[in-house]
Amino acid sequence: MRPEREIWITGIGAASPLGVGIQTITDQVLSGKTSISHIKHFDTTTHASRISSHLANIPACPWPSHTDLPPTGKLIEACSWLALEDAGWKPGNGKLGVALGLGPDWMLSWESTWGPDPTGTLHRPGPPFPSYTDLISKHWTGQIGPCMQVSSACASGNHALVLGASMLLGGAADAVLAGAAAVNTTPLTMSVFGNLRATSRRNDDPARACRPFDRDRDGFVMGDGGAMFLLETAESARARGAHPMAILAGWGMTSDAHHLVMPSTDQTHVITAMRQAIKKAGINAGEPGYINAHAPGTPAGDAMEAQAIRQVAEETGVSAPVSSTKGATGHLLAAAASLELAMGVACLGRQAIPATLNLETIDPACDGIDHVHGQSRSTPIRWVLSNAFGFGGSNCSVVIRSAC
Amino acid sequence: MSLESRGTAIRQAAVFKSPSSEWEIACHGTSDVDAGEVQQLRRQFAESWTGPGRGSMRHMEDQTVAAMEAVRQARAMNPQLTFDNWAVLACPVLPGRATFRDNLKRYAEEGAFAISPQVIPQCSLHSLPGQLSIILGAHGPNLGIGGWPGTEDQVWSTAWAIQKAVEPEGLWLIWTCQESDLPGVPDSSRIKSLALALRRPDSGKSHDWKVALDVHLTDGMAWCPWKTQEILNGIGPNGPFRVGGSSLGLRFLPPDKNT
Repeated sequence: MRPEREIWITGIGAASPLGVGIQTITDQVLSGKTSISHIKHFDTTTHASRISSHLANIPACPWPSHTDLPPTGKLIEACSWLALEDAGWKPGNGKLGVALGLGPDWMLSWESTWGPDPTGTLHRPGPPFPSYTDLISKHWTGQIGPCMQVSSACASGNHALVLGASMLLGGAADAVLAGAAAVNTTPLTMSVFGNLRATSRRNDDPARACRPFDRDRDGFVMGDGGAMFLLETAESARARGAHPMAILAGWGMTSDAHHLVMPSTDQTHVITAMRQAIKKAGINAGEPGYINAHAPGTPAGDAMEAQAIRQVAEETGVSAPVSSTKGATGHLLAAAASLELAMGVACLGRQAIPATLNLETIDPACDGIDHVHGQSRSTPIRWVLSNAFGFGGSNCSVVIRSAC
Repeated sequence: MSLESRGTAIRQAAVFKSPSSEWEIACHGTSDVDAGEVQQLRRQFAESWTGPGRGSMRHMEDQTVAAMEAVRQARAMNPQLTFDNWAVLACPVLPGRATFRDNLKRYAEEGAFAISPQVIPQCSLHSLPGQLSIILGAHGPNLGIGGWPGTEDQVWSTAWAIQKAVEPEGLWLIWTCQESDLPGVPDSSRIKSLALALRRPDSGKSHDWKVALDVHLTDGMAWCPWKTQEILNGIGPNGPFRVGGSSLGLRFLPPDKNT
């Protein structure tokens, strides 16, 4: 019998240009597919980076939507609904909390709904709806627990999951819908990251543009998509006959307190986050696992993370094969960690690790860890550690364990 | 002035079953600044900062500047405090709207090259807590919370959750908003901020005020950070503040009532 206070993942709603549902998406990623291609839905003539993994078709959701809802809002709703369906969560099952990870969300909202109209007049920006958590909670009137929307930039998805687990452990809700989803491929977002020189300019070769840990990497590639999870305590899930897909076993959260955009060259706080997660999850040295790296394909970020992973292995004896899936999905910013952890759940089921796409020549600064590249690897896995690092120096590592 | 008066309602209802956790109010500060003062403070903060990122501080969003001033005021109350393992939770309300408006217009007129690379780093929900964690040297989690009008209460519920998740030594809780978002002052260019530093109480009776985080949300109730500001302004042995339950189950405990 499992501990009653164990946190179970009982449902996942995931969407990406690679497909809908974690099994479909993971099939694609394990077979080495990528969804990165040229941007076609707006004119990119003046853009430094003209490629992305764009989600053109947001999955249908039966919930009645606000008419002005921007694509990100529609995707959050769709992933939420898919997660609840996947878990078999029905009205009357209990009080549902929401922990939603956000990025530059009202910018996306303003851009899609309040941009210049055909006459060139710019409306006063402002969201046309109360908040994204309201979008979800309005469908569960009278049965909604605490709602939080949190942002730590590209670590938001993991932070949302941890806060969701904390809500459950504190008895604030019977289940928590947690995660993040975003449609980031917009003119303004592409402009900002292009002008920051954070995105790849390998516009003539989209499929090979995102190259985590590779010597010739030149930045990340923007991505759309996300995943929402239904979290429940073992006690609560068991009471309604639900089964675990994986166990949310550990987490660690720190801040670099160094720079708003650049990662610190001192990996102390990244290492601390990873160590906290490993310790909380009770991972033993030698226990087989998989590290899904944040590694977006940026020169500074990938090297810092590889060095941190290496040092954690030296200090704790806990090591595992490493890969980044961003070469397949692009970088989903606030939603990156959520989709990556969802794939981690599928990897636990498949006992397989996806390869880092386009990792042809390992950068010496990223060496010293067991990179999975070339092709996916079938191997026993008992745990997955997913790293997420964001602007503002946010670090959040999460560990899931196999439910078997 | 009160958000309550504009009818913002908390839409969730929950009673957290865990025992409340009590925190000492280590210090608190407020700011209420106009556009000119924001410009001046932004320049002062950037010039006095000697760490990395000084250049980008010249682009700090207005609400970040107001929050930094509130934090500066708070730190002056208790200058010996350090914040290594503290979390920073901040709720700005729709930051960056002027910047976004200008950049959307520039994009339409000139294209991608005209867009400032600072827009997302400085104007997103995570920007303010990220900047404050740098200034404070706070290595606990830093999170932007809520972000929309009416989500200010989420700072408390997130604080409640975060202290269970990672056990920080202290919590910085920050609220900011443009006064024009409050009722009755649609044309105001003033920006308000409230900063509250909570730390784990020492054992035994404390001489500081405490706040009990047994967040107890009640359906349909509203909550307003500026009410808390009024409470904090009145803290003291003869202050007007009265102990008691609030709409959030947030209880301020004076020194003679806590043990």
